[in-house]
Amino acid sequence: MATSSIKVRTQLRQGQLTVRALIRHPMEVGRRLESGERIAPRFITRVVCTLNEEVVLDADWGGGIAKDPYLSFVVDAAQAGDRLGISWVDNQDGRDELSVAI
Amino acid sequence: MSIPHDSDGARARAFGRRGLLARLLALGSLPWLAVRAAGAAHQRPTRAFAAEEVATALRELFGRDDIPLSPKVRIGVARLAENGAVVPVKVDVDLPHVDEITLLATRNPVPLVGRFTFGPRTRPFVAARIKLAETSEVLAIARRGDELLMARAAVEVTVGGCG
Repeated sequence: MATSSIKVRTQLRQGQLTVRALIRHPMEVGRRLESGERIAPRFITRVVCTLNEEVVLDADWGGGIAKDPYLSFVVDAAQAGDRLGISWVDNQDGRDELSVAI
Repeated sequence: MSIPHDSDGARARAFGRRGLLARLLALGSLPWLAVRAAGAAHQRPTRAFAAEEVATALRELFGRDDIPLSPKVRIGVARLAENGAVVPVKVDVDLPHVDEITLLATRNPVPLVGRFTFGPRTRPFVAARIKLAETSEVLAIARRGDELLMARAAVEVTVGGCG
């Protein structure tokens, strides 16, 4: 299987979990031309982050999020061993997900 | 920066009733745990993403466009962005919890950049990297229940980034 499009780093300090995620994705808004043809829009529309299957962040994105998106957020009351899930869907039905123990 | 504006409208229509239904069915039938776990209550603000004016996007999102500025919402962004294609932005809110933080860029062809909805134990903070088509303002709106608070930050862009 190809390497995941999602890279995540976590830091747990006194129950406070900081998540930093990088997603490899073109985030092509569909305005650019290549040899006179407009490049089709392809961007992530939704990212869902879970901690032990509880949704902690649910994001709706447009093409205004930069290429290879970075996302960081902080969750309280986390414990070592909790399972962090990150999944994304784009407007072309592309998708990926990652699950890691923190 | 010169996509014909009707393509956004066309996409919005394609995302409309039938497209949305198909999407929901497709999501529901696939084992994408996290997306499914988020539940059926979640709805993408499709009309807000189709809006070309900030005020229209705000009305679609919140039902109003007169959102008060508050020092409780803080935007961390450089005043000068050399490359508009990648502008780091972070927002934090001086409240115990907020339901969501929404980011807009006032001069982007599609002003609504993203909406981040938080779970009950997620801190009112988010960091991301956004595109700015040209020198403009970044707006961050925090919602807690019916309460809306806004911050704005001007960013000067040397090279526009809606490529």
